[in-house]
Amino acid sequence: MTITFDHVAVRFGDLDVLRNVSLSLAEGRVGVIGNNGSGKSTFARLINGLVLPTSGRVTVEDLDTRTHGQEIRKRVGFVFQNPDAQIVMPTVAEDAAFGPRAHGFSGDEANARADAALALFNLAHLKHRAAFTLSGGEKQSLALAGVLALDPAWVVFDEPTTMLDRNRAKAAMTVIAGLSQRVIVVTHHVELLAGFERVIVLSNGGVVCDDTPERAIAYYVETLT
Amino acid sequence: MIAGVYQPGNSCFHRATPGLKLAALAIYAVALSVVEQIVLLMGLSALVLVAWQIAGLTWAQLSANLKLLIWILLALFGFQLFVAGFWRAFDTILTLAALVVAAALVSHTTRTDDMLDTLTAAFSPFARFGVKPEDAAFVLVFTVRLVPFVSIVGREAIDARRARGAGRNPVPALVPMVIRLMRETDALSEALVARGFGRT
Ligand SMILES: Nc1ncnc2c1ncn2[C@@H]1O[C@H](COP(=O)(O)OP(=O)(O)O)[C@@H](O)[C@H]1O
Ligand SMILES: [Mg+2]
Repeated sequence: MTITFDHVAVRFGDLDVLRNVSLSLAEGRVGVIGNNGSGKSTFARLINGLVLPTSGRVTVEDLDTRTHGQEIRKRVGFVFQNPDAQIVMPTVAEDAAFGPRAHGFSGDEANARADAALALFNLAHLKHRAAFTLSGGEKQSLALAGVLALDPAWVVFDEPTTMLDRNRAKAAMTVIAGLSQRVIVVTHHVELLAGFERVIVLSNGGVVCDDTPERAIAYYVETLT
Repeated sequence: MIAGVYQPGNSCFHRATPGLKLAALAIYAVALSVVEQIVLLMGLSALVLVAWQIAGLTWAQLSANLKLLIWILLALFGFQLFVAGFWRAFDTILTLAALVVAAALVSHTTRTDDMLDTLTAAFSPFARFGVKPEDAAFVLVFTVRLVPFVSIVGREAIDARRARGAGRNPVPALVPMVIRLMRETDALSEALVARGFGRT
């Protein structure tokens, strides 16, 4: 179970966002840190094929994101920073069932998966609510429930705590820590990555440090902030 | 309570098949747009209120649906008033409001699952032209999701202008609103792909 970056470069117009990144991710908990604009979101989006490399390739369990995007997105769930962007269906239950339905599960199977995922986050009683009337915290839970309804092997989080106050950020990280999936968290809240197995620091289009959280965070704090 | 959310019930509207309701909605939309006399238009609009009552929906639900669109209706009214005069402006927003209420009536009385199944079946003849029936069905249902979304963006654009000292006139807020809508729609379409919709 590995995600591999093989000489990956991403260019937007004449902006080199990533240059020649090669690495493989097999750990259960990986953090990615870096300043604004350092390419963290691009890195995260490469993993499930939302962004394709300008050159090089990204593979998930030997599937190329260029040719097997759909299969990869079933294995790699993606949680966006803003749950409002992620919630796409009118009601809570329908939104949780959206992923399974889009991936071809029957209506009954999709609903069963949605129910199970909603129960996991104590959202079952809100099933029939209009999704956009939920509170911020509930929306965040729904976004994650919608991803877990597909039972992915990995979950990628892009800045899961940036929009939250301190307490909600802590609560979110506790939820993330408890997931049975492999997790990749992109953030600039470095203190959230204690206990992770590996932390990657991005700067100037490349990986400038790839180490334990203690060492990678120390490097980041000393040289880049 | 709000656009697109199924309200359990047992009225004839709840029992009618989604296909029948969609066909009726389409005919109603055509009728609204071809009617010339303002009196007829008002009659047609009143019809949907009667249907609303029969479906057992409340007036609070009706106003919740219209509230979602109030800024857009006002902006359109202002614009039309300026370029085409009062009656044209009145005609435009009455048509739009009646249509919104009719669409809300359909979505309040139809489960999304049933709607998806019906639409998927309706689109399946086009499969041989490369249309994916499930995806086309989703797109239509998803449009419902955009109504509250557009309304929130619109309200925020107006509030932002007011916070900076401008008046309540919604027309100048249209430009920032459209720009933000395009950006947010990008984010939404990215989320759709990430969650397994469409693209391979
Ligand atoms: N789709 C895009 N088109 C053009 N430029 C982009 C696009 N996505 C990101 N960028 C640019 O690439 C750089 C890295 O962006 P991003 O990966 O979002 O960084 P981060 O998440 O670390 O802030 C930024 O300068 C950003 O403006
Ligand atoms: Mg980012």
